[in-house]
Amino acid sequence: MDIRLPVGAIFTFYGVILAIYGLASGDLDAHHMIAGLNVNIVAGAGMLVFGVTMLYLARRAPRVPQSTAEPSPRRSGH
Amino acid sequence: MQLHWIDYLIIAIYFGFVVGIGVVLKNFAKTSTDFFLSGRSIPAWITGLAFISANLGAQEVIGMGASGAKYGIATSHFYWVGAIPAMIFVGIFMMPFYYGSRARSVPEYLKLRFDEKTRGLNAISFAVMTVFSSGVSMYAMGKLLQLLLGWDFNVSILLSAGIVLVYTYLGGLTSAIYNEVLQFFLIVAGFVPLVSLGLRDVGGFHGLYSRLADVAVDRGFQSGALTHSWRYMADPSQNPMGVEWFGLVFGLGFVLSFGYWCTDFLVVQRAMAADSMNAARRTPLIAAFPKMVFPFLVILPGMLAIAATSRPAALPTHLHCAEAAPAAQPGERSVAQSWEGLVPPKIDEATCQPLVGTDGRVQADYDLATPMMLMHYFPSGILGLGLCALLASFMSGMAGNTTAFNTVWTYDIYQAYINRHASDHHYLQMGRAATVFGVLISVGAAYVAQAFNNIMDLLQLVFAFVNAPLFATFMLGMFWKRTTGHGAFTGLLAGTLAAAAHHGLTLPAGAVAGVKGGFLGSVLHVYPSEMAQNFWTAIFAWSTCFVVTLLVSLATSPRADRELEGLVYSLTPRPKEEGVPLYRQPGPLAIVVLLMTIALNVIFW
Repeated sequence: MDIRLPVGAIFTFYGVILAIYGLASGDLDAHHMIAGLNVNIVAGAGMLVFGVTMLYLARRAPRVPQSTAEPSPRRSGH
Repeated sequence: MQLHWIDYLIIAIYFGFVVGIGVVLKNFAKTSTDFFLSGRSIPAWITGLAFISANLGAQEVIGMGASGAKYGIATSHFYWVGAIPAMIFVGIFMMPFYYGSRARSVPEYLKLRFDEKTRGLNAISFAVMTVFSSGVSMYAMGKLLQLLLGWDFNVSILLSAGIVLVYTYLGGLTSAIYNEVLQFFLIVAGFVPLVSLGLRDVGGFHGLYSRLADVAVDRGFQSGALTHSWRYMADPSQNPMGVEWFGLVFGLGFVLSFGYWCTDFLVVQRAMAADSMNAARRTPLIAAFPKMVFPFLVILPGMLAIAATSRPAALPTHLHCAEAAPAAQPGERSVAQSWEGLVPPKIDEATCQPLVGTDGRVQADYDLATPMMLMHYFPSGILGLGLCALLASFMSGMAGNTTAFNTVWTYDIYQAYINRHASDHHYLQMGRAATVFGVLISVGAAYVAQAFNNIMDLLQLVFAFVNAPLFATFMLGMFWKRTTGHGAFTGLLAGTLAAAAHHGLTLPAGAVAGVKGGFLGSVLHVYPSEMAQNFWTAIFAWSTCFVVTLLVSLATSPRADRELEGLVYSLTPRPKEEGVPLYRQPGPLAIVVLLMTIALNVIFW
């Protein structure tokens, strides 16, 4: 298993949940704001980007058993 | 603190993923090498992150926040002095022996290099230490969750221990390592927003520094005492740590730090699981990059907590009675007035009054610094993530202990002394069984810690005595081929005794004789702080072990050179890095790490 798969999946999941929750909650407490937005939205967006990147990297990696996680150059023919 | 459904959902997803990883990896652990050493097949960046994550227990996350609140930026010494140099050393100089000798554990290396009794001493003390420390941190975690969230102590302990048990039982070291990588990212994801919110609230670094200057003066130090790591280290009375630079550099930076990073199987095991010598050597070096920036994630929250000017809306339950109470005496400060930023005072639960130290000042409950930051700045949603980060740090530390324990138990105790010639499958089963009873003993230890707090203090003290001399033995063994098994064994015992004797004859200022020292009847020296005493205990233990090992080795007969090939520096061929690009070579990587660490020390001087 490529470790980037579960890491990517959970971050994508969390990112979506947090961003939606942040948008829906309408919480504007000054202590909870980063860059004018609720921290849930900002952190959620960041986690989503990270998660999707991880999933992309995992998908792109050549499928060699037990060394799939090492970033290595793409094989010819892909 | 009130959690909402979203927080529970986030925590539940996390639990689901960690168990899921164990289930997926179940079929991978077919031989004992798979189970204990991941079949030596993991790439360097994964072992590197696991290396740092296994080390990052909940006690570190909470404890470093507490130290940040107590000592300020000087806490970074535990990273930039007390970790990075040793991590470079283990990668560059020691990994060739650990990985190259094909030893399956640190005690097994001692057996190859020295003899059976040295291995036995190390294996047994390590195994006992591991399960008990894991129990102590479980206890701390259970207590914290009870305090903050009102979670039942039993439920927290049994649930978190149960989850760690399931995934380490199923997937062995691979599952622990994969989860540690996940936990690493979650810890970062939980703490980056916390620090951002905290910094924004106090007006950035500029605001933080000016607030901390006031706090430092209020505590009776010069205004820069909390914001400079080295400037006040010449005189222990000038810095909040109460240590001087020599004890710091030699005691923490050399003896304690090298003793931990270079000999503790908990971390070394991660590097041993790497897929090549090159990857094994790069493991601690890759780990050094996150380690270097962790102070900004775990220490800064503590500093931000004492700098904060606002108060959380909800309080931990033990403060409810105290908050409303008036001051005990007219003119004294009431509980509500004795907070230091977000850090509440310690409360005497019987009288509901703040506890006052020997210096007449109200004692702050610094362990609550980071938790109060979470409560204050995180709205629900990300609060669940922050709690996941705490739980992740706890679980990664506990899984690290569990996997190190089951390996040392199976290879160095069971196979060495109980059942020598069983099948590989039998040892794999024993490893699984050891995972179960290791966790059970840890849970038991957590309850012992709950019932008899001072027994655990005592045990940890004994562990400190046993650990202090270790690095002298390894250093001599690896770099001086004349070192003998008798020398190593007597050196270790003498070093442990020296540590106990030093501790028993000294006291930190303001302490009473007992577990803090001075238990041998007379007190020969009073140290300015407990930390200074600990550093010097380590220095005495190391020096004694070094001298005794050296003398006994000279008096006993050495082993033949050919038996020591691959185990001693002068008899081991240097690992070759031909054809490896420069950025993937350990040497250049180490230089980059070192330069960055020096730069950080200079910036925060």
